[in-house]
Amino acid sequence: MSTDAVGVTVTLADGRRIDSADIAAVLNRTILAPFTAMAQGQWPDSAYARSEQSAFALSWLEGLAPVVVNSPAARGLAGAWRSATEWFGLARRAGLPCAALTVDSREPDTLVRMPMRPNDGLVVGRQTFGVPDRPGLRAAAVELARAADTPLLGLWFSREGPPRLEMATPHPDLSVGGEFAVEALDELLAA
Amino acid sequence: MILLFGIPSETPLAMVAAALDERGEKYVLINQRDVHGNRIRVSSDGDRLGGELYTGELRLYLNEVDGVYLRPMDDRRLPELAGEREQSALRRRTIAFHELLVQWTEAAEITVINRYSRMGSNFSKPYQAQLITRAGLATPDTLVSNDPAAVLAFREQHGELIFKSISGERSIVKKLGADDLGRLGRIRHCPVQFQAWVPGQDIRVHTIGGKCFATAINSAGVDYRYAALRDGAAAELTATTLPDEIAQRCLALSDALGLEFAGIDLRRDPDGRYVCFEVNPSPAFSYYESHTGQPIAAAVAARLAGMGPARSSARRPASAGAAHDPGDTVAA
Repeated sequence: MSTDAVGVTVTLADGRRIDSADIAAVLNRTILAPFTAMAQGQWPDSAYARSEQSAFALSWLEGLAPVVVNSPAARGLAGAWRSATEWFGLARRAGLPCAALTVDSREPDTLVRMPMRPNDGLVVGRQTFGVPDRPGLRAAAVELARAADTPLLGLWFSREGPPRLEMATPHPDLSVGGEFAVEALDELLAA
Repeated sequence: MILLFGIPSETPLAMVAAALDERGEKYVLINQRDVHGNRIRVSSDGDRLGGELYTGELRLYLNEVDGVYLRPMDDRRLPELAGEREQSALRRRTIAFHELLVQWTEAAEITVINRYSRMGSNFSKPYQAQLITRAGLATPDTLVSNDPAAVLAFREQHGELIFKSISGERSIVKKLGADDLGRLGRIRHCPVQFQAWVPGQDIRVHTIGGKCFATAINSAGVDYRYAALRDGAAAELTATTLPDEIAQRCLALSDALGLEFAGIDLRRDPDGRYVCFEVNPSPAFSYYESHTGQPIAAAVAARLAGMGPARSSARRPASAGAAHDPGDTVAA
């Protein structure tokens, strides 16, 4: 890495070599850095190794190609993981109606909010899949993805009453979009 | 209303509190160590974000808060939790308090110095370096690798090298010496960051409210922060003025990283070229202010009070204008 250029080469155990100079775009679905045995060893060296290897993964994913979807963030290698409080803050500014929320530090379980079902909706760049057909909702979903810097974004909506955002994820189940989502991804990566 | 969060006796926090007193601003200092008394409750009806924060005998309404200065230590290491089991109720509530306070500062449309989401780039130095170069500042030639042969080739190309951690852990800079070459094979277990050695003078730049406060450091040590400890001679710090172009780039970098307040580490090489090593998002500015008299705490207080531009929309370097722990922190 120099001021002018960033290059990444990865040599795999079987001898294959990946060079960032040959890569135009990356579909990034990395959740955790690949940890070596050192990261599984004795504390505190194991914690140090995990921190180092996560930091390394973040840097090489960032420099791997001109287009990385989703680009890595310090709070998530496939895009920032956010709490419901944070997603709702962004969503309100994007014009997306949100569900009611009460979170209390005296009740730590209230901080955990992840629906136990695949995401209902999907944003891929400027296209949406499975987002309810209500005035302004799809445009607001696209704006949320843009504001969150996660062009690939999964959304959950309330099932009762008018659709309101319940949660979002930078690592969505893509199946809700079917083949059309694959085409949208292809367009996004080629942009 | 302004909130300060951390340990009241911690020097940077105490200096900002004193600066707010000086200005006559109303603020509440939330003692991080009051693990039994602190509580936060955030609520939303779907349209508006609200809630309450309890600390000591006080109850604050979150929608009355205009600015927050976050300066906590790693909450897992609070002395009050030393004897607590991993999943004890007190430990879980304390962690939840820290998490929810951070979550609220992320969502609330107020001045926050600094939002945790914006501090994150410091977690990975080579990641942050890519953001630094995009903002127009030069960085040292760098190799991160677990391949000893690649390191030797890099050394052949650049001559003297330093090495340091990739993350913020154990972040001490050392020159790569003959002893280190003998154990280079160990990097196969965990990649290490190597950089071309850049000679010259260290300069720490604090950016806040559209201003730059620059401090020149003279030190014989490889890493001036630890000069007294490792090399036996303390660093000398003096206020200095940056060339306007470099000051503008520092402000642009803080903007690009989304930081209201940043500590930027530069070095001016013998040819007058400025190289940026890293940006600290929770700078221990007191070390620099106490040596130079630069009014950094006052600038932080002013920004919390709503004075000055958000981050750096006004571009003007401040003119060149006592010892504490020099360690910057990335609060956990």
